[in-house]
Amino acid sequence: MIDPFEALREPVVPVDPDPRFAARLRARLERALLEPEGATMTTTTQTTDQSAVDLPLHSLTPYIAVDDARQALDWYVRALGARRRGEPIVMDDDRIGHVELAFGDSVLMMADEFAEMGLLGPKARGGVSQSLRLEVPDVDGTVRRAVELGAELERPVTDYPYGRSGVIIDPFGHRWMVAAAPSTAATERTAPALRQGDVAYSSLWVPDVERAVAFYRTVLGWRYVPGSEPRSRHVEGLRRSMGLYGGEGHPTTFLCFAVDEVSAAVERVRAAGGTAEEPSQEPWGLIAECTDDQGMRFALFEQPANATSEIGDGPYRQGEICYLTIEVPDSARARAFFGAVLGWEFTPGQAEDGWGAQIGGEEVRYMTGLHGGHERSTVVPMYFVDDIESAVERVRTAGGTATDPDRQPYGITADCVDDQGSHFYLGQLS
Amino acid sequence: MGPRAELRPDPGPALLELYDAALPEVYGYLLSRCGQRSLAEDLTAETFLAAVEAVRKSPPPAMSTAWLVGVARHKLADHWRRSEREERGLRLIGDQRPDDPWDERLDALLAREVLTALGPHHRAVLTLRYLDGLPVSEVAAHLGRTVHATETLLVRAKAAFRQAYQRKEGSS
Repeated sequence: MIDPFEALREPVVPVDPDPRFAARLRARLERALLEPEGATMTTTTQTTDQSAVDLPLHSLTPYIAVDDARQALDWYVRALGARRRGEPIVMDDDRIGHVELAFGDSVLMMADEFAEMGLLGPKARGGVSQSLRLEVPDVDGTVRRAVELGAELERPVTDYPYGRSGVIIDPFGHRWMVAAAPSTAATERTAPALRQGDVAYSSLWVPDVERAVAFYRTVLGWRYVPGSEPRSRHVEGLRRSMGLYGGEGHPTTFLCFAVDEVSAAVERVRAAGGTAEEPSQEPWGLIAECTDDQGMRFALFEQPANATSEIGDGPYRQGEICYLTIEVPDSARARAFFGAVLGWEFTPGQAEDGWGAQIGGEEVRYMTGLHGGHERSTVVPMYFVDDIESAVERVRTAGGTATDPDRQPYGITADCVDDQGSHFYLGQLS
Repeated sequence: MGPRAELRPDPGPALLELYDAALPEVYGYLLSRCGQRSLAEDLTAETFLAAVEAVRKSPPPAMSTAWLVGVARHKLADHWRRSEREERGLRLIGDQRPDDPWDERLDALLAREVLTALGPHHRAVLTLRYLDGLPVSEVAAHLGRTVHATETLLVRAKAAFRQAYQRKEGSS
């Protein structure tokens, strides 16, 4: 019998693209062919450089003098992981008058010594009058590399109450305190960065994406951009990435957790009785899809080394997730699994067999609880709303159901189901 | 660069010479398979930029339109892999009957419509196997899966396709 799928066979039919596109691409190819080998596909290098150029200046920027700015440029790139930010400005006498480097999210400015203006490096002055403090993901590795490349070790890497750090004097005499600050310190300084065990991305799995689009637009004011498939949407304007995905029989919220090292986390998943695919490199980081030992699907995410995903600080905003309840069949198994994989710790909650998840004594972000005794695993979100009375009205108008708002110690909540059977809560949290 | 490199003929002009003839083929291939102009343009650009890198390899590949369409196919498979991850679209179609023959003539237009609505992994395997007519082993190589896993995926994809097709047929 002939396979009916053979009817799909489609030979290539040439199509002329937009002539402007054709001309632009030809110009790009001509440029690419002129570039040195290996430069064409360097999308990542180009983005890194561009990200260095695009960095906004913070309120305070160090501007240092060194006795050999050219060498210093190379050295900071190789030893401390700096990225070049634009071309140096070279003076008539061949000294570098100004050059910039990006370190993580910050800029360092630098120039050769200009003795005639009183600008001298530490060596000429007989020592530094200031230190430069640098936060890095891998403090041990950075200090080791710096010392191998000629830095002097002033204080070896050690754990302090305020974090792990070491001190080096670089070959130009500058003193660097290289530190991996604890996440609490980072939290206080800026918007919190993703920690291992935080939720990096969530996706609402629904039977019909169009209906969900309309329902949540009405209830929460969500705006959308198309996803890469007809049945997916990205929710726009939220401070943490969130999507909608249609075609799902069992409504839930799919969670993607941040981890420090995805390959190690994948091993932990398997050791804990779950399954995990091999990690794959995506433009935004390394991803591995997993299933826990009770059948819940989730993913693990390792962000690129120099990326700092911030996850929104301060008061909640309308339509954002403010709490997640992970309903599971057996809470003891789930606690053991997520404890092993994500480093979560648990404190008993108010509800029976309810558990609050924590990382190093702090709430998981989003704030997350486990609840046992359910037929199958489901993640139930709570969305923050400014005015719960009217939000409950909107749920009912849009075809969903909602309990009357109920005052809890932490705010006013309503227990809702959308028009396709997805369970969620609304919370006007105090 | 050593003298040997200088002796090597520069493949750049040959690629540019091929460009005008190959562009509509590559673009036409990608447009018909992904159905979106902007995406087809992006993947076309990726294809030719990848070709620039490839022609510098030693020995350079035999440059032809068919070779460029092959590069485009890789780029398309990469794209689907990316979207598959992005959408977390991996679900199994439950209750398959793999050996149940489906004796029907497909309405090509309807079939294309159904195909675009499938998840990226199903779409990828069906496109490579049937639209492009590749043998399963080559499909497997493009998708970075084993032949066995590709066969399984193909069965699931056909089941998903068939389900969607029949639903659509019923509704229209």
